Formats: sequence, structure tokens, C-alpha cells
Amino acid sequence: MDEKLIAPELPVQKDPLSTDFEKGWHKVFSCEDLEVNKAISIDDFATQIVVWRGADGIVRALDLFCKHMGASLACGEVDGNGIRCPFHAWRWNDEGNCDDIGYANKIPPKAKTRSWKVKEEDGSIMVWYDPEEV
Amino acid sequence: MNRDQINEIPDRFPRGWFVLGHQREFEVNETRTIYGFNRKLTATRQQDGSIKFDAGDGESWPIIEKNQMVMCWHDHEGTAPDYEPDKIDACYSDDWSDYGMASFLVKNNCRELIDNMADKGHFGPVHQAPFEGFWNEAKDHTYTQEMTADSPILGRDLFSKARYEGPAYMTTYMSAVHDGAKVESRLLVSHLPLTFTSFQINFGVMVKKVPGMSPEDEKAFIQGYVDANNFAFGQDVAIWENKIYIPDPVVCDGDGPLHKLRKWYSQFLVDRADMPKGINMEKREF
Repeated sequence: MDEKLIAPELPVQKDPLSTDFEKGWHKVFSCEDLEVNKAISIDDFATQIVVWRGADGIVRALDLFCKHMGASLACGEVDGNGIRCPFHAWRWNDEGNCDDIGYANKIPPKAKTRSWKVKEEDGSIMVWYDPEEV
Repeated sequence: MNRDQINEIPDRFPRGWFVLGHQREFEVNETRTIYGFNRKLTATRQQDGSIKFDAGDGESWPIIEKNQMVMCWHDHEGTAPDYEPDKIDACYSDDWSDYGMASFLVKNNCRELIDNMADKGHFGPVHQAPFEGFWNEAKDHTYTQEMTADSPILGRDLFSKARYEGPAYMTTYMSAVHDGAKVESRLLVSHLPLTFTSFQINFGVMVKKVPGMSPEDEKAFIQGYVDANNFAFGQDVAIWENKIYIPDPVVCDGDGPLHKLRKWYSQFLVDRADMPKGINMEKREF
């Protein structure tokens, strides 16, 4: 073979326990760059996360990829204070629970994802990392 | 290891027939270079009409021409084909147009495309296309999805029957009522893996000719369908290129038989001796 095909790298949800992140608050973004009803993905934290500002102005964070079929929640839409996945429109709240599926009669009890503590301080959005709590 | 970081890519390309292109793209005495399966493939249409196929590394894989397509057989184990796609009469009929073709590249493993067959729940959010009935059936190397819908965009009284024959060749029959007239069409959705994390979708659209329709109108009509499908695939690609693979998804009561579909697909990713039992599923509504 005289030419090598380039294989693109795929998205991953890193194991937050296999990083060298230290326990504490970590700056992930600046407050003024995240408007109400907007979501962003953060790649340089202990794992990939979605951070969004709900209708009430409060910032929240979850694991980036939907626990249902794996889509990036940052490609979805903020709905109220939760975030709705672009793939099947499952809505997740800041505790990591799915609280709405438009086409289901019942939300599966296992529909849970990992949530992250967030605060805003001195113009920065900070996310808490503690390996003992992960 | 944490359950949600298991995102392993299959260790091989699936076994089956793969479309290399429309027959008309292979002209006598011309050699076409096609990238697929992490290789550089070449296909030459010879003077006698046959195609000489070189898969590199001194390998020559089986090749067929069927339903207007040139297809190659790929098998990790190197065994001979055990099925062939069924003949579609419309592909050989003057009552139907030829396939209009288009293709594009997706950056993910080709298994991502397959989930759509059972993924009842994504049509609304991703394609804004609610439907009425949804059926699936798995039988040996085939997987069938039937759907009925009534949509202002896709058409009234829409019926579609999509069928995979093997892991990479899907054909769809579709009928819908547009402006009071019944329109019948056929889609081809085929793909060719380039690497383990990229694949090319080659799709085709043909329509049943409407008596009295001029060739220009027919061409424009087909192009309209190609564009509509391009648009719909664009919606899927935006998801596919920004997702991880969940090997064992938590499903809800409104989801289709995703686990069953994945089991069906897994038969093409193992040696024949290791093929899973229980891949068939009677036709069922979901």
C-alpha cells in the first residue's frame, strides 16, 4: 500500500479516576462566555463534561455523553434548567437523573448519569473534582 | 474498568457484500482506485465487460454486478460468499429511472449507521418525522424495518420498507402521496468502511416513472429526493460524529429492539464458527 489512510480519532468519555487531576475546584470556562440557555462541552477536565446555564441563570454540569445512546449533550438544547439530548430528546436534570422522555410511558430507573458540582467565582466557572466522590 | 468508558471499536471489518459504485462509473479499459477496508482497492473494467478486482496484498475478492451496483465481497476469514443480494426487478425495468447517486464521508465506525434500523425514537427529535407504525424483523443475513407515517414534508400515507442484506447493503421501497398522486421510490443506502473510524455512505434514489413526465422533470424530481436524503443524512451525521458507542444502552419502553439488532449485526463481526445463536426475530410491531 503506497498511501496510508488516516483514521480519525473518535470522541471518548475518559475515566475520571485515571487522570492526574487533583482534588479541588478547577476553572473550566469564563462566566461571561456562557449565556443563559447555552451549553458547551469541556474537554480539559478530569473527564469530558457538558456545562450549561439554565433558564434561572444557574450553571450546571454532567458527563458529556448521554447514557442512553451516547450523543454529546452539548449538541442538545437547554430546556428549562435541564439539558435535552439531541438524539432522542431525553432531558437530564442537574442531579444526573433523566426526567423526561417524550416517547416513553415510563422513565427507566437506570437512566442516570454523573453530575458535577459547579460554582461561579471571580468571573470563572469552577467544577469540583474529588476522586473519592467520583 | 468503568462501564461507560468501554468504547472499543470492532477488531475487523464486517463480512458481506459492499457496494463500490454504480455500474456506469466503471468504464471499459479504465482502472478505478477506491479506498476501503484500510486498503487501496483497484477495479478495472476489461474489454470483455468483466471487472478485474485487486484488493492489494495479492488478494482478489469476489465481485458481482447486481441491481446496477458493483459490489465486492469482504470476509476477514477469506471464505466464499454465503448469500447474494436479491434481484430487484425495478433496477432492470424501463418503468423506473436509474439510480441517482450521492456519497459522503462519516467519521465514526460504520456500525453507527446500523442502529437506525431499530432506533424508533430518533426519527422525531433528529428528523422531525413522527410516524404511525414501526415494525422490525430479523432473518439470517437480512434485517427489515417497515414504517408508516403521515407527514407534510415526507408525504401523506407514507409507507417504507427498508431491508439490509448483510451489514452494508440496504434497499428501501417507499410510497407516498404528493399533491394527490402516488409516488413510488427506491433508495439504496450502502456504505464502505475506509478505516475503523471512518466510512463512506453511497446512496442512490430511483423513482417509478410517472406517465407523461418529461425526462427533465424526472431528473429534477430524483435530484429533489437525493437532496432531501442528503439533508436527512446530514442530521444523522451531526449526531454520529459527536457520540460515543454505548455497548449496552439503558432503553425505555418506547425504544425499538436495539439489543436484538446489535446481536443480528454481530454475526458479521466474528468468524462463521462463532456466529451467535438466536439472531432471528419474527416480524413485530414496536
